[in-house]
Amino acid sequence: MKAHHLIGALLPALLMACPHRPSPGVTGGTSATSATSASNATNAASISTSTSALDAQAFRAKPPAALADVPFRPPVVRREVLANGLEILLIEQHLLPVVGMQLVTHHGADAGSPGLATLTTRTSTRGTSTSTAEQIDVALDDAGTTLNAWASIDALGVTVKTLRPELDGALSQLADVTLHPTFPVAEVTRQRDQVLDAIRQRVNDLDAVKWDATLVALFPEGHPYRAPKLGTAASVAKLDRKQLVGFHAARWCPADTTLIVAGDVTASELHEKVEKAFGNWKSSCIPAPVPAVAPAPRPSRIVLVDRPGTSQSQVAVSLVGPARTSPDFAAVMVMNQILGGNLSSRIFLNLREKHGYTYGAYSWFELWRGPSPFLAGGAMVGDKTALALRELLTEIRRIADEPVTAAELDAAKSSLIRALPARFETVESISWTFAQLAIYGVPLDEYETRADRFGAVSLADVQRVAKTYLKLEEAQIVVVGDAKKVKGELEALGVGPVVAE
Amino acid sequence: MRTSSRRLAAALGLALSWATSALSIAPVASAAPSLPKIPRLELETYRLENGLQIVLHPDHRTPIVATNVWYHVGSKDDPPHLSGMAHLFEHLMLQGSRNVGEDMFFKYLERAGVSDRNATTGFDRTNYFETLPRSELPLSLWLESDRMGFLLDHLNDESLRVQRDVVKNELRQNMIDAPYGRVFLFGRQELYPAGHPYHQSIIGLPADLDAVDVPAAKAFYERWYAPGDATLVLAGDFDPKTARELVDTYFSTLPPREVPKHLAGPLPSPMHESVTLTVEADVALGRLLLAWAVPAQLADGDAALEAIGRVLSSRSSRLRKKLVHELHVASEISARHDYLSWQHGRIFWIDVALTAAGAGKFEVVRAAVDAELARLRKEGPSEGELSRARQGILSRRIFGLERVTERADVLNDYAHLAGTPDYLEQDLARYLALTAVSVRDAVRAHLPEGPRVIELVKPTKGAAVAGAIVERVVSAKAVSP
Repeated sequence: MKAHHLIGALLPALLMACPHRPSPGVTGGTSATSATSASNATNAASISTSTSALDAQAFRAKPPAALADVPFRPPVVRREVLANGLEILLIEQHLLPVVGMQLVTHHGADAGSPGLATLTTRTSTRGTSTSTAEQIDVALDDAGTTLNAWASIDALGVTVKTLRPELDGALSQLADVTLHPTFPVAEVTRQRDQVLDAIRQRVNDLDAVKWDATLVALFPEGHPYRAPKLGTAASVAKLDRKQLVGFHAARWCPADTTLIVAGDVTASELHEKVEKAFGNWKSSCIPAPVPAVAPAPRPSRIVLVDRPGTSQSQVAVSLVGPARTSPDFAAVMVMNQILGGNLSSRIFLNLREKHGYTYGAYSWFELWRGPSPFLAGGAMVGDKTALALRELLTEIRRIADEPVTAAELDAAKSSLIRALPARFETVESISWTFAQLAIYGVPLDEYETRADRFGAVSLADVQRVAKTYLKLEEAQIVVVGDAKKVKGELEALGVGPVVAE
Repeated sequence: MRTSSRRLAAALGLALSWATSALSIAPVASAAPSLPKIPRLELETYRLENGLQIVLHPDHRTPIVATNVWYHVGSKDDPPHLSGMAHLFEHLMLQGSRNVGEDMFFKYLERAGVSDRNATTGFDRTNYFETLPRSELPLSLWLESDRMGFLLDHLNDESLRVQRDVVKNELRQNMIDAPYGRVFLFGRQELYPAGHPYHQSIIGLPADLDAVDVPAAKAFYERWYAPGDATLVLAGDFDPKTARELVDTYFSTLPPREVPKHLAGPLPSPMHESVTLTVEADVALGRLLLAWAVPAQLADGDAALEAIGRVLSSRSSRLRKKLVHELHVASEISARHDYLSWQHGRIFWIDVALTAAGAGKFEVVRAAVDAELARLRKEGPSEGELSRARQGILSRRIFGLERVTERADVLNDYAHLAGTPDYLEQDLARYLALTAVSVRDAVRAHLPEGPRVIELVKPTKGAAVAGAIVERVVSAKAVSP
């Protein structure tokens, strides 16, 4: 039998039972002449716009002044290095009985063949020299602790969240999966199959397809940023236990690892616990590959990935931006905030609020260890694909060609600087924030000085970094959509050749 | 189980005598646990003369403050033939009001250093929230009061036209071009058939969205957005006296308006037979979903069902062990309530993602799920399973309390569902009070073999990526795929 849905059928009996609004002055049968409580509040079906009412509300005409500001102080971070070289960062927070931890190395997927880092971390929690995967899972659930191993382009890590009374167990499991994973062959096979499944799934995820195609468009064969983090079907199929064991051993060693702990634990307590869990860890890493370098620029072109029948097109304008540790970091962050960093940025207001081409459009810089991608775009309604791309390009060109206004600059800096306190609200966000500093070797006083550095960005700085990093003649544009419908109009834009993936 | 309950009670800072009294057996002696305390949430609740309910929760850990307004209207209140109205209206609330110009809403917030800002529409409520540096509390109150009182001065054809396009793009992105994008809607529409207030998709039908005009939007506002039917929660770093004065300035001056009548619950599913849907989707991997209509949030059985979700799908669950780790037919299992606040009834989903190796093995998966459910119906969870479920739920709830944005929303949720924001302790007590017997009984009562919905999502080249129903079979009992 075919599905038969009465979508759009009359709503209904149940709603009809809902009484219509009674006439003014009467609510639920009670006459009310003055509004003194929720239940008899009346009046008003319409909003009064009489002159006197307007006068009474005149104080609303302008936004209010802020209350006294409290100077922002980031939380204090204590640093300690164990005898074996393991770096510990502690940020104490005692108001809730929770602890968040990050254990991170300083190299990730960029240091292995495509997909190796991801498969290695996925398998590392699936059995150690003293515990089966099942025992690990039961112990974590017994304590209500979460522990997740991950790989990013620049780091391997394990994220842990635990209630304070369970901290000892959590630390001991964190050490166990990092120091003593056994990578059982059966688990390697299963995790590899799951990664291959995930790669198959990405084919239908338009955003993921766009991302993968963008990396291929920007970075040449052999560049560590070219392959997706999951790897490719071909690269993952070749991975075996020996490679996982080798990669794990090469990348995890105390001298190249940082443990970040935020939450309800004191320095002396933590010292003792960490000594117990990690004090005997002895191993050395093999030297990591040299950081990724900027690829040679390519002339602008549009890579069109055909997905027949899609109602929207995923669009990305991509370029190679700076590395995280670039001296341009502050100026790039401020410039991007104006261009496409939030809901009042130029790209969002133009493509969503002015034209209604999209549910959301943004721009961002990845800011990895090496020169890394800049992307601008979003999911655009299919029959407006070329129009939306034209607006994106217009906004990118405009921020490089013309100075932004002083008001825009102030708003962008203010939005970045004044949102800093919220970053330090949870033990997870605190530990993650400091983990990023550790991964990239950024000084630990980053957040004490950030407001001043962002505040010092000038109109000229914004235009300079826009001109430096947003050269549209080198833009690699990726469109994932219905090629038959959009190819002609993309070619008509004249921004470069349109090539099929 | 007993040791763990004690551990948790300790972590929660709850009185042990109270916690243990909820258990049938006294706890075994264990090493005296350290007693980290969660401060009891300090609350001040009152109403303004225009009926607006105010909840103040000062919390000084971080110098930020969350403003969170709930209107007790959702997609179940969409007017006939205007599905999606409540959600489209939410978008209009972000477009400006009498004193907040077009596209100025987010500009004000972002310039002030907003860290969380959004609005969401559910079946029964619509929430609006923003978290700002503590010094910017006046700004959020100015913005929220202006749209609560004076939205209509700004509402116009152009902002309606643009937001209608934006919402249609949201629909395309999340439900048309998204893999499996419609499978949850299919199941829900069986449990809550045409005519039921929970039937329609929240985002609405394109033709209905086209039919919304400015008079319809104005009528919706006038009917549902009265101050006397809203609740404003402030959570975070503020001085209560200052906050009261500011609230008074911005909200007491809003004229009272007639308060709408709400549908009385519960609104149970009328379904009495099981339905098996075969769905074709242009995706790589299959998926099996089971769905039941279950009690509303906070109603009897609701906490037990959450625990059952953990028993079935947590990291150490037996079902995961069997399907993922032993048979390799599944890559992921989730068992949980549908998202969002549900006031008058809910849906419980068991959702299994098949592996490539498990292609087509719907029957193997269905049988394994049913065997687990049969075991739970017969014996209930083991002590270890129950303890882990409770520990998992409560630890996540504690972590949730770290964020004032979430605290504010939880307080509004309690005000909406329990009639008082002061409900955290009672809420968490529900989990400590669970027993193997109460969990067993909840499976018997709420997750029967039928009626329920079974969805088989079959990868099919050329089908809609979001999924399309190709077969619907009704039977009095569960159907074997």
